Amino acid sequence: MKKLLDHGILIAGVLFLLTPLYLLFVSSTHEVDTLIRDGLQWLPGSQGLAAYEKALNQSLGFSGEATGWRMLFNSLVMGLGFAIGKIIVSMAAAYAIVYFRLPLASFFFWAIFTTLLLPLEVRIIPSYAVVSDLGLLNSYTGLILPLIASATATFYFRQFYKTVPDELLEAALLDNTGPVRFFIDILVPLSRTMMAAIFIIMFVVGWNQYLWPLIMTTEESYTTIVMGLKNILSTVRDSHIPPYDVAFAMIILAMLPPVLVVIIFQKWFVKGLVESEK
Amino acid sequence: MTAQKQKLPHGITPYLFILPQLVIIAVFFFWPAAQAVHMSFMLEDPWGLASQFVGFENYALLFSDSSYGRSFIFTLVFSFLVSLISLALALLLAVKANSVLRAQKSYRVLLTWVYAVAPAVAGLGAYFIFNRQIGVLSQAFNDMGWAFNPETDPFDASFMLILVAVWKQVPVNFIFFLAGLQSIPKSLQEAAQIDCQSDSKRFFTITFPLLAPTSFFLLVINLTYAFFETFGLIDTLTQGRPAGATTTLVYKVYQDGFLGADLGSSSAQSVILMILVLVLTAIQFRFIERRVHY
Amino acid sequence: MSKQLNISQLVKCYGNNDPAVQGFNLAVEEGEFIVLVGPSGCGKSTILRSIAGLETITSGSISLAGKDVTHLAPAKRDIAMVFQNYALYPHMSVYENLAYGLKNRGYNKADIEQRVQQAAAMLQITDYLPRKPKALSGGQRQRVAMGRAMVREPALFLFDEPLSNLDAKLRAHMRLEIKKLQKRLGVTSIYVTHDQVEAMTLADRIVVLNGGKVEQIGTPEEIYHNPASHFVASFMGTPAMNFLPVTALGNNVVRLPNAQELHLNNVPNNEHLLIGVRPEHIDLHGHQVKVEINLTEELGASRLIHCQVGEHPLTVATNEPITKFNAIAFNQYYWFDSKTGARLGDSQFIEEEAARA
Repeated sequence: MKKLLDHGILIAGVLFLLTPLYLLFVSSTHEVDTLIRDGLQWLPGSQGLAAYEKALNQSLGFSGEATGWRMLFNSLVMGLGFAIGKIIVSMAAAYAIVYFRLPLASFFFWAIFTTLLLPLEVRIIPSYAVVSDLGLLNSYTGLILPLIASATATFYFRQFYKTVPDELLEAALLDNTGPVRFFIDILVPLSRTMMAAIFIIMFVVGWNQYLWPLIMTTEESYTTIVMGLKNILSTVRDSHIPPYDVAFAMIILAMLPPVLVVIIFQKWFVKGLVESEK
Repeated sequence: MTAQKQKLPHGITPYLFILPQLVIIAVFFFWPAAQAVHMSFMLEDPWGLASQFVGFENYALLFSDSSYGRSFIFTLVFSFLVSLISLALALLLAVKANSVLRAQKSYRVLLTWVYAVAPAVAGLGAYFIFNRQIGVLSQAFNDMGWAFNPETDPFDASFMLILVAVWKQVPVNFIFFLAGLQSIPKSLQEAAQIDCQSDSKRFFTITFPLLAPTSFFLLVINLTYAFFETFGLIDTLTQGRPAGATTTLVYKVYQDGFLGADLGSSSAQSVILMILVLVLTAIQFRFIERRVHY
Repeated sequence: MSKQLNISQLVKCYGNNDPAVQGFNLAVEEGEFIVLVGPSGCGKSTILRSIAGLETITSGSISLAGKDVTHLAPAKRDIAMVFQNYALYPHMSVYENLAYGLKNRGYNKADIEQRVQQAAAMLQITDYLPRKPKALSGGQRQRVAMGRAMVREPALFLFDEPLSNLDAKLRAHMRLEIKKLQKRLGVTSIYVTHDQVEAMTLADRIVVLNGGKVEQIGTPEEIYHNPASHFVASFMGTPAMNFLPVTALGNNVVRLPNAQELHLNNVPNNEHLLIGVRPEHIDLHGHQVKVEINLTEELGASRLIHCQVGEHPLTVATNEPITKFNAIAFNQYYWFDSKTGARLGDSQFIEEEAARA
């Protein structure tokens, strides 16, 4: 009886999370007319995945460049670039902090640490000004680099390096290993699971960026799928016959890649999340 | 004495390793942050051609501005409600997921995937589900006799926002609580089972105290989330409507700065937010220091 | 024979604390097996790591094979080290673990292959060469760690409590293996342990350390039969030596803790007198010292009988089938100053005793 109640609560939780997604997906397989007339649908419709084809190939903007495919590609670049860039930059920085006795070490540490305090949202306008001054508006570099300027991953790797036994470094020193060699031959291979875990988290964070790309891209060819939703919203609001089916398809497309990544790499994802917030 | 890491002899190598990070944070963090502080003391004319030093005038204006006060209060209430509700729900689910043996893995996946949904995506989805023309929820509310209208009613709009924010936040809390529960040694749970018959009493006297550090730490994380990461949610769902009743502080920075082009005021708001986060982090760190000894 | 390793006046301080090692001197002959033994915090590991170059020393000098290595990097010292937790590279196969140091020193492939195979054969780990350390048992990992030290053919082996992570049975086995291997290779070795049994069985010479200072340097026999101080006497030997506080009454008569008066040889004239008797140097048939029996521990070949002299415990080790007695005699005993811990009395007595044994 108690078991049943437990499962009941869990299933209620699952339904609470899953129902909205189901509703949107099922409705995306209906004709727009049905949706306008009868609202969201609980059962699959006749159109199959036609709305997805439209969402992927049709352009939403004026220039014709911002197709669904293009936006997905931009989001992929953003997610991968952010995750990879962040891992490389922060692994290297954490290595310098943990393994060397630098005269300015505590200054560096605090400088990097401070970045944890202020999310990009808080300094969004001056950040825009800096990126604009550097001529990086409408570029992948401008999209990605300012987001890397936070130290979450650096702290994550710092924590991890501290758990690597000292003897490993000592054995390597006796094996005639220099600092660069030790990093590449020993530390990077040892960090593989950690890298995978943090990669999952960072990919999702990068993919899901909204405000920053919204502000700093004006060219449609740089639109990411998450910020593209804003265009969908205004299209739906302004149209006589709102393209609900395409809008729903876009929502599903925008969430599918990061959700799949999290589901497929569940173990690493949980590890990355729990470890990175420590 | 804690064991100190063996240090490598160094020349220029470590500096090369740390340089990229330092350059990036100098250019994209410290410079903009300093700019924000600087601009908060300046008044710029609407065309951005000239600006003059005005001291704390931007701050003074903010504090006398009733809409800022309202936004402040909304942000606090919103953040605490979202945090508490999502923490409570997540804890309940985590405890249940930890106790069932069957389908534990499936439950975990099904209860965590929402983490990967961007707040903006969640917001747009919710926009349609709550939509008065096609949405199912407003329909259901109306049928229940609740004239649900988030476009005009501040309570309805806040309710909707909180519900979606909770939906988005439950999975993260669930993951942490589950990890916390699973890190409680099995022997300890077994000892508790021998010493205490009642499930609920055992939970409140043994499990919950052991989870307290996790909970407190999560509260801080959740507040930060509700402060900052709900931007995408608000921008797609309410845009601060009705009449600024659902404008959080972060959303107001964006509105005043980008849409209203009032750089001085927006920067002053940024600085106030920085101070708020500083306080939150200080609390968090005092706590983490304690957690080490826990 | 030349002095292979020479350490003079080694001092190591951490921060502003008391020095961890205070003026350590040691000269080691080629092929010698030296064991540094002492309780944790006695400075033994610091000395070992200083020899390896993993610690920068505060003052003093270290020379190896006639060359001053005090300021050389670890890799340039021609030493190899076996770590307590083995410190195998977890992502490399056993072969790669052995080859890594050689590769970094620019050996050619054929040379590496030959050395690795040779070491692997000697350690009987040839079958495990393609495996990762994770797939090995504790004893096998231990061998790999030794192999990594061997392939380099260094002038000096350093062992940092290499057996402490193994279970008792395996430890005894590996102890023997290490000794055999060291004799066969003839490489000068410094071995750190807190286990006095390891020290006694492995060492050519033992260095007993306490609080950063040398208590005694000597062969296992010397350390056992002629301990230089109360600390050495109490630390070396299992079961540990018994100590009873006694009062010298003059004319070689002492009062024991049970108020009994006893005539003994060479009683020193000292206020704080302590008599030390090893459990195995007690005669159960000598009716001199009254004891009460508390508990008997059966060890099979022998037994330990825990008794009491007045308020003070006294352990007797015997292989005689006797379980009941109420008086014993001391066959052999040592005198110490309980205040300073110094050994008292002349060494002549000791030499006589040693000659008799």
